[in-house]
Amino acid sequence: MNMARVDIIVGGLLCAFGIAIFVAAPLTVGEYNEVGLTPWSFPQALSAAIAMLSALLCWNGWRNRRREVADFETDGASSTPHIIAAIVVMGLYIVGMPLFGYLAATACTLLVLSIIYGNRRWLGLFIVAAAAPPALYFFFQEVMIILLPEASLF
Amino acid sequence: MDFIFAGFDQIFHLQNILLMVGGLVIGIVIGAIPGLNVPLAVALALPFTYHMPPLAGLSMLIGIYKGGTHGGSISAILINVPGAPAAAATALDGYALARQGKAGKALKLSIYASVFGEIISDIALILLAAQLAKIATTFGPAEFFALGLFALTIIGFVSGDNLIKGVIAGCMGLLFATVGMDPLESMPRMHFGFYELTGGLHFIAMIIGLFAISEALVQIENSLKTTASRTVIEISKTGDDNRVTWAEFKMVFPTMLRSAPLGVFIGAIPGIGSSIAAFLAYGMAKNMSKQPEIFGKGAIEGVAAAESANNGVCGATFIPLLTLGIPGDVITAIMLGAFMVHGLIPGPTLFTEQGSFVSAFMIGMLITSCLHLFVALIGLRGFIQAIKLKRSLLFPIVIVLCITGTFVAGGGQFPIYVMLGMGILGYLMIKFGFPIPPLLIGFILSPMIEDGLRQALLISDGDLEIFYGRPIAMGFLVMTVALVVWITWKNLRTQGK
Repeated sequence: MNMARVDIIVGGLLCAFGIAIFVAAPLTVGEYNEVGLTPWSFPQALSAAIAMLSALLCWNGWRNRRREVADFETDGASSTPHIIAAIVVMGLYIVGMPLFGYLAATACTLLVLSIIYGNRRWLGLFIVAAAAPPALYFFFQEVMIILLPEASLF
Repeated sequence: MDFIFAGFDQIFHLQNILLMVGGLVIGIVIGAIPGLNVPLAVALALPFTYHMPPLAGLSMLIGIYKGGTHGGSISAILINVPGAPAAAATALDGYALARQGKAGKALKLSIYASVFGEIISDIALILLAAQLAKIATTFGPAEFFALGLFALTIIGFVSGDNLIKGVIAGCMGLLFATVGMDPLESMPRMHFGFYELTGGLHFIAMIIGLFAISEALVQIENSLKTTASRTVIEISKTGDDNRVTWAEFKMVFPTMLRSAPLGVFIGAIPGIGSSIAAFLAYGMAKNMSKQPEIFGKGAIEGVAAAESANNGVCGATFIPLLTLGIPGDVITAIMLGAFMVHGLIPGPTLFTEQGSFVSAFMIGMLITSCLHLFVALIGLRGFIQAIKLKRSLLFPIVIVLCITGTFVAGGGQFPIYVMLGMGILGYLMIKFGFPIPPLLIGFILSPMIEDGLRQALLISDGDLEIFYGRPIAMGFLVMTVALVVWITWKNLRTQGK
């Protein structure tokens, strides 16, 4: 896919986002003193600007849609499952930290993320997964005196 | 002079000095690793400074900034891959020297030139900042609004090829900053029912997401693509190839003397950046050289020019930041955030209300530059090993540090979700060709612009004369319009070609 077609889709989505925020901005504010500009004037002006510029981006993409320039990098398509997996692992880490504790959650996350990044040197991988969490834990708990999540499940 | 000496007591503490050294080491290591960059390093370190005294935390970040700016030259010289964009000019002659077996000479010269550039830049900051701040103390809301608009034109310089996408990103940043409390009415707005958003988007979470998590996601693609390890040129054991002789130093000194002030000048102007400074200085050195034909084939003046200009930018970028509160580039934008995280608002009032702090900070920059020389020389062989670190081992640790850092600074789960959301947004922006720096710059300048506009209109009872009737505000507005016209014209011309 060339970048012009991507611009049409992204421009369209952003235009819709701008319009949605323009409409919703006043609804997010309660009572206010009616002096000068309203609290939603600035957000509305910005969302209007985003909608207009996105429409311009969309139009630019439409003009260039037949250009034979494959400038949108599609090499990344093969790595999309890895990226989604990494995001899911990060999400699970955030949720899992208070449940399993910082040490266990961090060790598992490091292990899985290293595999997602293509690391297959198992010994090094296990050493890092085992050594890094206690080091970080010690640094925060003992040096910085900041409490990290403890396991609540066990 | 009293102002300058006021900060000595505050900065000369063992903790501050150790943090500067630590920052320099982290900065050089991260700068040397291709794929990791200075904004990522500063963003990653920011939450760790959260619980430190402001001066200590900022000293460490300055060390990272300076070390990282120089660290990019190590990989540029040894593997021809600049660790930072600004080191691309260094690679031209540095790598050629390394291939001739003179890697040690090129690396040491890059250290001397970097430190020289930094010192000149820091001196310029110390001499000029207070003078400029004096002028800025006369600013009212109208001036700050006009200044904020003028500073927004930086977006035009950091937008890359697509101005429309850069401006959209800038508007998104301005919009994101409106989430939370209305500055004049103190009413919650734009929170969409999320109670946690009434305090605004957590700044550290946003920076880490946009700069570190997005980069970590991009690097998944790169680490899957490249499996071959890079060949690092080793440092020669021969004495003369491994050091800069006195005769060579005398030869390159005039080049450094010309390049460092050029870096300072460019650094003081918001939006231009160290890459342009390095290439301009390189071009100037080539034009003024008696042997221009050897440039690109291993000219030591080429390395000296690029590095002294590149690092000459570092201190000078703080001139507009400290005096006017406007960031000159993405790193100073993050540094501005670091000031705010520590409860300090850069601008003219910082000089009047926290004079000794500002003085200590600027002297700290100078001390960091001096320490840089020793840290870089002593740790040189160790820093070279950093290039060999594998992404597949490094980035999982970066991700864990991002999440832990955000947890520590944010004090809960919600900021981590914001960070993850911003990371995904940053990744999508990179994929779809939207530059990230304008978003951050918009986010930072938004309060200055909105507060300035609304306060000015309140004072004038809605009369716009408050903007065009005041010379400084009018001057900024005229410059803004002129710059917008110029940037648009330049962009249309480039598209036409």
